Amino acid sequence: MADHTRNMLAAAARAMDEVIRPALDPGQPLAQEQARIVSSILAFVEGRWDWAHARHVFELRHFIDVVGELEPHARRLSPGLAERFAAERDRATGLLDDAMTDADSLQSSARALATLVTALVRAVGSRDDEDAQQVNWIVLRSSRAFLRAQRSWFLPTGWEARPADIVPLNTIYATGATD
Amino acid sequence: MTDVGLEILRALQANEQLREAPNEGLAVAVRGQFPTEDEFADMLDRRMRRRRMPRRPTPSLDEVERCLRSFLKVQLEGPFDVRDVRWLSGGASKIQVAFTLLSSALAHEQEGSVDLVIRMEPQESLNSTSRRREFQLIEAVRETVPVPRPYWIDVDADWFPEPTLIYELVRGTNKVSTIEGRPTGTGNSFGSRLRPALGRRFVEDLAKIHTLDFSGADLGAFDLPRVGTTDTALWQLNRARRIWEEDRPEDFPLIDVAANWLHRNLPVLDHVSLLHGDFRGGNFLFDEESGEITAWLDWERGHLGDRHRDLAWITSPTFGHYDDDGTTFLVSGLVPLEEFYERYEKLSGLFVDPERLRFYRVLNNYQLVISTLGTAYRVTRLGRTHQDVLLTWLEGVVYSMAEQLRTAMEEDRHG
Repeated sequence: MADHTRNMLAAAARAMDEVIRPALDPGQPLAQEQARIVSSILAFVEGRWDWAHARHVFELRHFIDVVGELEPHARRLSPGLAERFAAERDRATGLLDDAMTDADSLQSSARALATLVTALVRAVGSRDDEDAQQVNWIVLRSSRAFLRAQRSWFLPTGWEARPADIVPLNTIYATGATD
Repeated sequence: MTDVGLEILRALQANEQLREAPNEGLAVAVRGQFPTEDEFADMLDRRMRRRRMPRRPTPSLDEVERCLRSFLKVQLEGPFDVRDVRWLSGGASKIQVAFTLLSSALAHEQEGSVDLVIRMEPQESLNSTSRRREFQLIEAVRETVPVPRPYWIDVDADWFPEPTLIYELVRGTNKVSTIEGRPTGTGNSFGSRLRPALGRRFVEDLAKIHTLDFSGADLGAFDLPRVGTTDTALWQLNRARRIWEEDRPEDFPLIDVAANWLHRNLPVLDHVSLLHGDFRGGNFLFDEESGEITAWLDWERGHLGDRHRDLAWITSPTFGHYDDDGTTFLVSGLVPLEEFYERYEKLSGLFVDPERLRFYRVLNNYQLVISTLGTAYRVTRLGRTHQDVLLTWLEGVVYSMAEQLRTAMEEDRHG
């Protein structure tokens, strides 16, 4: 059976806008403000519903790539951590190859990889030698693509100063470029 | 031989468990690791102690009124009454309730009647801040810039559910009535009619605050940073780092790269200014007819420190917008960027240092990402505020701020 969740969400957003919000007491500004946000959240989820899986895959791929780039530095700085890098990267790659992998597993694996990267960044601290510079630089540079995808995901929330500059989600996920 | 990376990994994984089921052990550990101003540290300790408490729904207006009446019985001589107790909207971090107080003790002012605001933390706030500091700051600047007159403070929540400040309700609005704005008031447009007058006062008031001689003021809740040291920058960085340890939903490596960069680049302080901490559109009230600013609000982030912290905050793209031409960025929707710096330097006599501006741009975005991604997630997950739905909506702004932080560090690398 096809999924009709988006239909439900769109109807809920309309109900908020056309029935519930107009009925609220104008003397209750907090209720009015929050009702507006609830309506916006419903519309946002409806618009993003079909992209959720693509988002999880993109993020996991991003962290797999970052860990791969950091591995040579991790081997010099923290051999124990480098072993964990290799093991978790292999596990994550396996999850991507398995069509039955659920959303929780994709997200959990991305989080585990992010923690490994964070551990390496913390291990270099405010040191300024070549390896430390490279570790910080790789994370800094690679974050550009990650943030571009996140800003595109959240574009409907209306916070961007120049929304026309944001690359659409279908372009980001279609190219799959994580860096 | 110790593998530092593995040790750090184990600590990260252990702390993740503690964030989900916090105890005082985590607070003690991070307090020691990231020393900051005493009052900040005490506030953060307090919130961690209370984090294991069950969720308490936002107090009803009736409950707030009962607390208020009990409180006023002790504060006022003679009979009194409270009328028209009502919620105020706006703001993500504080509960605000307005009311009218009638009291013979006020007979000499406004014919025995005054409109006041109760400003209170929710069970846990987006920004854990001190009402005592807020009270002291407002008192310190009262003769300099328009602020609500503070009346009373319940520092230890003896009468109210949470620490509370009561101050004058000032007439005015924080947004133009005919222009729909964001719930937090950030980045709102003021329109071409009001921009000149508001823009002028905006810069004038900022210059006055930063050059205020506060030596005679009671600012006992504030630590005074030493000129010629990195005190103030390090305290601000450490406060944010501690909050990230206690609140984040998951690791975000860019934030740790930023922490490394900030620690390597701590600037030395040249002049101690009193800082507002959240000086922007949305945090001042104005008269829509005359364009006069009637009050500066939300002093909770204020502290004694480097003016560049305020300057970097105020000029953030998040808090302004582009003019109709699409190329002129208006600081807080009011003043073109270059004009803002020129006017500020002229009015204050203080120069704007691009290097320190960059540091504080990175630090401010670092703090904001931590607050809107870390604390907002944590307190809404626990159901702690009256604005949970707004706080979750704030995630939409996290990644543009993170990109500003990333870009600033990248420019430094290439610069």
